[in-house]
Amino acid sequence: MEPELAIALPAAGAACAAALKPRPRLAFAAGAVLGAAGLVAVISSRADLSSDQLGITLTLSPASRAILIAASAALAILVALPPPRADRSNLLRWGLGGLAGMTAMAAAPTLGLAVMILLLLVVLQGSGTGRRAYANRFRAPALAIGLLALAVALAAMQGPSWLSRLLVLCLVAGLAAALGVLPYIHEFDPDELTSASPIPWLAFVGPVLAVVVVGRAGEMIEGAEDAFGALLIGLGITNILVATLASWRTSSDAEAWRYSFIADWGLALCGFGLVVPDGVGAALLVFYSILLGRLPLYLWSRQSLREKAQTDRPINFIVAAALAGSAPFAGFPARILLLRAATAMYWPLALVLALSFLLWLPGSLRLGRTIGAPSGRQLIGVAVALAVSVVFGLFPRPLLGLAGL
Amino acid sequence: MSEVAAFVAWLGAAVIVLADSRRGLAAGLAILAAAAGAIAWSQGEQGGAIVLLAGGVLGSALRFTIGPDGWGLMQPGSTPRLLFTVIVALVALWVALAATSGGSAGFRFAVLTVVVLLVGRLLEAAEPAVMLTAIAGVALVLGIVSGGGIVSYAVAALVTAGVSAMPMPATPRTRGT
Repeated sequence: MEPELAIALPAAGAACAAALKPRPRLAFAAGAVLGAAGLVAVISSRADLSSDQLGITLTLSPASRAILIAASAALAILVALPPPRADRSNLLRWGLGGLAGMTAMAAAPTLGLAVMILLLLVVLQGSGTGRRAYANRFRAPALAIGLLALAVALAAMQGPSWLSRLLVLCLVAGLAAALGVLPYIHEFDPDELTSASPIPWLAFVGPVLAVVVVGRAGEMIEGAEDAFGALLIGLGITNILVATLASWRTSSDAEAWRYSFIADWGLALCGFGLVVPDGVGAALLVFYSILLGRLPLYLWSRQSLREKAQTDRPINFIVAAALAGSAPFAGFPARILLLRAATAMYWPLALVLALSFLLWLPGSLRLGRTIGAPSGRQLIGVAVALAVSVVFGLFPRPLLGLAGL
Repeated sequence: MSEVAAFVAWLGAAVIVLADSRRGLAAGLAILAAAAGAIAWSQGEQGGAIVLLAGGVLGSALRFTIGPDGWGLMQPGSTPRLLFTVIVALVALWVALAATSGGSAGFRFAVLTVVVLLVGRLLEAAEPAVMLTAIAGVALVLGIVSGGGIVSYAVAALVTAGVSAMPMPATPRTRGT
């Protein structure tokens, strides 16, 4: 029954938080209790064990379960230590809604069902009040739905080899469009509420979606696995190169943060493309560092981004080091695993990746300064994110074990 | 039966592509739902067909009440869209008949033509009602191709109705206010 509860409890929490909006304390309490119960259901669910209580077979893969736990932890940290001017109950409502959808996608028995749930998430996010025009907010994720639907339709047919390559193209393009990475970068407004912006696709829903799509792709692309891997690696390297340079050179600090997420996604896509366990492990470690490091740090930097406050204190350099993936932070073992996987597959790729890792430095130094001089709750939050990153960097093995690697 | 249903599915998607207002969009969604139900029926999924039809008709009824007034069918400037519906149909027909196998040719033609037409509409449209109707149509097709039994049909029906029930989003606030 755990997968069913893991979906239903956060969904009920989000619904309660929305229904009790006029009474924020009650909304927060109801959402927090149901969300915590949902997290317990995810943790207590046994990976790869099917549940068929409602006439539908739901299964959480080890990797999906691990990422869901990380996403729940990220939400808990953000709700416990909310960024300045953020409304906790609003944060909880959107976060629990996203978590329920992510769990449903992860547990869905077919990719088609997962895409339908993604469709609901896209429509719900579009229904929020954003600063961008509705069409601009809705179009890119909706294109992702269309491309993934086309992939599901093509998987139901047999035909020549170009058909399976077209299927691979639709899968990878659909994933890129949903995430908002190159070549489908979503329009971004730095002043928009985070829940209505493209950031949740890059930093919250995206990791689970990628695990689901890559996991299901194996059953659909028989005979075109090489094309799938090559496409992911090509897309990953393109994203790393363009986004690290853009994060360094762009005029807006908020845009620089957005590009830094895209650069991290480049690493994850390369990891998935390399197929070997080290590559997949690297991708999962990147997801942990996005969910529990980069996302909270971005949210806590938004106040100083608005105030255009930049400082050069030691904390800014430590944050920069964490964002650049240097030792002993979580990005470091991810990069080591990626290099090991690339060396095993095709060593010139490892050379390209090793050189590209240097490109993270200038952008990360810039982003570190945008944290400003954190104080109070924000300082505690930054310290927690850095501590978690150090623990993950020093002891990555338990995390990989949680994901079944 | 599936060949007729495939043609009706193309017709429904073409009406959604050519319509700009709520009545035309609702008509397109209703036609598409009827075709999707017929395709599911022809595949031996009678229960799924009824569920899918119910969801589509409910979605169509909701769309009939939400969105810009009128039919808005083939308004001035819609010639490229008309050509798009014809060209996509011809290419999908070739793919379904000559290039692919598995399932019936009608099924293959229907899913390809509807998904491509509605994705094209999504990319071209700016009106929320049009975009939501197109995405609801994609959900109907996903219900047929997902292969999860009655659950897929039920989820597709719920998603179609739910998407059509979404209120029109608020106009974005301008900067500085």
